[in-house]
Amino acid sequence: MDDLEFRKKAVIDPNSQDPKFLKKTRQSQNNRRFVEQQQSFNQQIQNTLKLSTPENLSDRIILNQQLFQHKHHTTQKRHHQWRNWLVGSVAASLILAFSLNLIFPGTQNSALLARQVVEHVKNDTHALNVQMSVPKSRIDTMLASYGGKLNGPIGQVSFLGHCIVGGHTGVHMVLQTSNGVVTVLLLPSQRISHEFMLNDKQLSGIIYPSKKGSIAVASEQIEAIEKTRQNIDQHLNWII
Amino acid sequence: MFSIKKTAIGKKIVKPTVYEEVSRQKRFETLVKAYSSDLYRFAYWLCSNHSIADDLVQETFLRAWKALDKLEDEKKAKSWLITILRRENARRFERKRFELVDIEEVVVEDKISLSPEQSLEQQQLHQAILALDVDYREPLILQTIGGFKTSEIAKTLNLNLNTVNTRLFRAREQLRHKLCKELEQVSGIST
Repeated sequence: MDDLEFRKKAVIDPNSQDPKFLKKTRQSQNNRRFVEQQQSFNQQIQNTLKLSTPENLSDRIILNQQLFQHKHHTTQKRHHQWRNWLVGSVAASLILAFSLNLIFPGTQNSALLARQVVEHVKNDTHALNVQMSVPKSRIDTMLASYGGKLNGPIGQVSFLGHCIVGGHTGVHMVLQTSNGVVTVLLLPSQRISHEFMLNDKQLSGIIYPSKKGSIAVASEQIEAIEKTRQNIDQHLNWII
Repeated sequence: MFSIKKTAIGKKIVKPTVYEEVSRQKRFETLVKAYSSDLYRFAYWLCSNHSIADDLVQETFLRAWKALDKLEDEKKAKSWLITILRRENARRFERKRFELVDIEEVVVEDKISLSPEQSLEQQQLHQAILALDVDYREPLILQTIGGFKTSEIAKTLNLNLNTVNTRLFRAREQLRHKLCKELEQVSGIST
């Protein structure tokens, strides 16, 4: 590498790891100094280019995607309804049943869903054993992906993840409360008509209708349930 | 696996299973977490406006969400997103001409605490970068913010390697020249 090529390379890519460039850099004090000057100027450029970004940028992106998806699904549903009406080959009673199903897509038997929730909580022992403090930003992002938002603290969350209950997705949270460990499942796609108690030898709890789908609260300590329910109801908002 | 459903008129619809939807959502969220900040910075230096940069990033990720299944190699995610953002930026220009921003009037946000001399130098550098021709600015941003190699920049911008090297060289030389000139002016005033 000749001197001209070296100096050009130092300006174009001062942090280059090209062996020929590195060898030439080590050859003289002048070369070293020149590369250091270029690297320092490059660092200055980098500091200027690295602007701080809006704090809630990623949450807003995910919320925007969820709003789009929601709108898309609604349009698709309407489109299918219209097409089915046009075909007209289905008997009137079937059309009625179909329409009811479209209006209440996730209406489920509360007892069946309660059983599925108990099974899910008992099988997912990993969630109860995780001991970490989930940051609020992660909870916000996760809720945003379902169209939810917290407007206040819900306590210490030691586990947070997506879950699948009865073939639908939801949010699985474990809260460390003063009355004990509580599992909260937010099931936005699972509508139920009325609340239902979770009855199991180990677990107590309740599943109840929410503004969007349903919410299940379960714990081995019965006294922890009602307080957690109130806390969630007070601070959780569904935006979509 | 996709479940295939037949509609009333016999057209087949490929519907993802609930597991695929969850994994797609997780994949998208990982991309957002990993790249939204760098993409925002890239957008800002491309359009010189925070609000347009925000819109560009939102649009980019929405398009990325729609086309997520086309992204086969996660290692290429960053350049894939940048390609979408550049296209989106070009599309905006096709739709409407933005009001031109007078570079001299752009207020530089002072987010890092610096000494007065450093802060002045950084503001001057900020203005100088915005004043660079976009042909020179873009490879510089890709190299400095994106961490791309010169060969990757050439591929992303659809240019040959020599052109990219020349542009990077000139971009830095112009910045250095502008800074020196400004500093001379400042020291001339103060003496």
